[in-house]
Amino acid sequence: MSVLELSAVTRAYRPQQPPAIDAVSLTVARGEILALLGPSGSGKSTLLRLIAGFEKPDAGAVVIDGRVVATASSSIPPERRGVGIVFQDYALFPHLTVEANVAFGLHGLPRARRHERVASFLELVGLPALAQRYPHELSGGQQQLVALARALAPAPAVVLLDEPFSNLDADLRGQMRQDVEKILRETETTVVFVTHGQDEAFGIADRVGVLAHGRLEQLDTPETIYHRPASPFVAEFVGAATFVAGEVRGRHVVTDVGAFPVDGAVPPGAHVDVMIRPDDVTFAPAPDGDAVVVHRDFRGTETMYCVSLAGGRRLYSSQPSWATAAVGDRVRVEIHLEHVVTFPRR
Amino acid sequence: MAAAAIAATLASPLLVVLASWRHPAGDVWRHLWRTQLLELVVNTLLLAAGVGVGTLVVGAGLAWLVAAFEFPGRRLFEWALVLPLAMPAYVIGFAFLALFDFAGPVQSTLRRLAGPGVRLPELRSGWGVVTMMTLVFYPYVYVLARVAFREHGGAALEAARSLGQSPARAFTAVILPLARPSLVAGVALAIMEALADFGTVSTFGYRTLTEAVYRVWTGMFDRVAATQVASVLLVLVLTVLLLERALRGGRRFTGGERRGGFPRIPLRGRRALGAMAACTGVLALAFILPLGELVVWALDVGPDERPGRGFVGLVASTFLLAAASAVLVCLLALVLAYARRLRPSRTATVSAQFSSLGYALPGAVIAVGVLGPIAWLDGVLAAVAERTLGHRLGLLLTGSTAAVLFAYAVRFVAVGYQTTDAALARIPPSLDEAARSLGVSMRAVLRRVHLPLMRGGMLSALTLIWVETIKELPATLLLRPFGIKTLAIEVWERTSESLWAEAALPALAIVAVGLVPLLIATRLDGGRR
Repeated sequence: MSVLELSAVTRAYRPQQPPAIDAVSLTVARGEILALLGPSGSGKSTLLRLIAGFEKPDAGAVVIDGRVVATASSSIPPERRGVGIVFQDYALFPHLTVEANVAFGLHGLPRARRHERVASFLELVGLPALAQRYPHELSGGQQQLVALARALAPAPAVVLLDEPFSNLDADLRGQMRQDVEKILRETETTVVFVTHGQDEAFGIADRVGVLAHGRLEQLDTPETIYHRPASPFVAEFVGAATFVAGEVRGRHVVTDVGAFPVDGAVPPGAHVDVMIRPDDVTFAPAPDGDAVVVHRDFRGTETMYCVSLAGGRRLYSSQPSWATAAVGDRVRVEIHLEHVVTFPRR
Repeated sequence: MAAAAIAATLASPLLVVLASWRHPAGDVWRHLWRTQLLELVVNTLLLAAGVGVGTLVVGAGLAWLVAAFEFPGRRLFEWALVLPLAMPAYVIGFAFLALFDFAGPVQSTLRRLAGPGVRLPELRSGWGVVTMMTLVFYPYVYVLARVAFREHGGAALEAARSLGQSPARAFTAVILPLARPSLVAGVALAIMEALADFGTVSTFGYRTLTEAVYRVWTGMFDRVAATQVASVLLVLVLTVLLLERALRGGRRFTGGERRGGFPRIPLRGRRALGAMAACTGVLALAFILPLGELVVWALDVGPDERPGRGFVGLVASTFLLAAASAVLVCLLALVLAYARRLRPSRTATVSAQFSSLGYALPGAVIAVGVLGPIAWLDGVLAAVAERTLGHRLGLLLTGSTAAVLFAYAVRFVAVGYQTTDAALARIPPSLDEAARSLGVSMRAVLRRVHLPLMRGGMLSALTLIWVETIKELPATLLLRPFGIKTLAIEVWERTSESLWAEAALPALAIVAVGLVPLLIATRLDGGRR
């Protein structure tokens, strides 16, 4: 059952310019975690604000829990939508204690019940000892957890997270990601979160929506997005990709780096681009090889090589860090495509 | 909408003054034009020019001393040189008149020492007024210049010296041009204050436009002519404003800014003594000497002149009027600032800017401008009352506290607006959105989030306006309800009768009140360091 539904939502700030959000439709199921992934300016924050009610759609509709909350003609204000938000800067109220921050959204409860609820949510995020502290006395990670507890406490239908980990140090980010996901899963919260980093999106989300220029390019599981991207934009945004020109002959696409099987969807004779990811490319040292290593980028767990083929074409190859080759080494390149992805020639 | 209404109301006196030219010039005006107007304009221009040059030299010079050099007492001077700001010009003015008068202690001593023929140049003159105002208004330049020198000076000074320039050359070639926007702003503030001053020029008998507005109004009871004189003054003030914009030229120098400043150049021997003497001299003339004089007088009054009930009442009524002004102005400022936050529209921004013009206007101009709308409103009220109640009301608002408060609102709303707007700007918009996503309405956001966070800013706005109102003289003098007196009026009335000693105690009270914002500012400054 869907908790959140957007149908053809459009938002145009100025009539002459292309809309910031262009006919986006999607549904989010109860307990699902959906990531909105896109470069800055792709409209992902606008989409979040449309769901929250800080922006109004120019066309389309937003439905939360079966209730239409926004159309082009009417819009329910944010305070009556039942949407929780964790802001990029956490937006904790600096004049209130942690406890009062979490209690802020709990109206109409008797004092004792409210107290209980605040305590249970502080317990949930693991910060019961900090109830009397003020936000400025907390670390970045602690502030984030308080913001999460505050958003969850009124039991919203959907929780929105805006770039939740971008303000944290790199060493803290991984741990926070795990903690936050655990809390969200435990509470079976329905979540939409916005990010520009595909690791975050892939690591936490059940499904990922990739946005470009206000349009939803693809909405799928992380694996599908990575291995079967719907467009060259998606292919390049979620990982390094090289495109090699080829022509479909029978059940194969023939390129100058080899022939690969294709399914029947691509008509024979079509000119296409074949996507090749660095993890599809391996090479072995060979004194008589026709390729040369031209660049080496050691990244710790893996090493990214750039090899130049005989015709001058360059391919990227990621190798385990223990496999070493030096710039200038002659190699022989092999390409194994688990998923053959082709796009019509650009 | 509310913001636009407030802006229109607050700007109405300005428009009234400008519109005064639509009326044909009256006899008084024609008389003024033939006899005095040229003298008034020239005097006013000379005053503005003199105060501009004086405050620039004294303010920038002292700022450079404490910003670039180290000498004994530098820390103390750096702070204390702001103190004269607490001293209204009319207070220091009468203290000096008394000290340097023909019968005063300085001239008497001189005559005793050097013979009866010795005289000092007459203080009741153009240069006397310029000196007084320079002594009181130089801190405007000093404060801004010191910050500019400390912020931009370090890197520029070191770079210039590494290129072989002496500190003096570096100052004129690099630092002064870099600090120009700040210096221009400071000098413009000082000139505005000089143009607005009424108390000093009237006790010194120096005829300026501000003083003429008062004289025409109370001496000849000609409101139209007074308004027309005010409009000439208004043109001068607007010229200064435009000049300030032009000279700053939208230029903002960035880069080379370093927190924590740069190492000061130590001064030794004669140079250190010179620096100390300069600081001590200015401070003595502008603050210590007049303050000492006031204290001596205040202690010296005879037993039957001791401040009694009357003085307590005077202080109470002054403080109360100022408190009413502060609360009213802060509320208006809050509406203006809040309108801009809720719906950042052009109307809201223009409203705010329009309302802020009042701070540049001399109190005398505002006073004559306020009377127009107030009289009109009185007329409307009287007509309505006569029609509905069937009897005459008379003038309800003219000569009432409402008129004075209206003038204060026009003059001081900029102070309140800037402070509240800055406090509001420090609250990130995500806090509003967080509150609303937690089910809190817009109105409750103001109560539960904004007001608690703005408390500090609002308090300092209240204090600033309270103090400014207590020091204000010309608008209060022209508009006050019959029988109401403030400390400032008491000082002015006593001094215009040369009753120096009796003016001392209320003057001391004003200085003490004026010290409050300076102390708050230093405390805030100290907290940040």
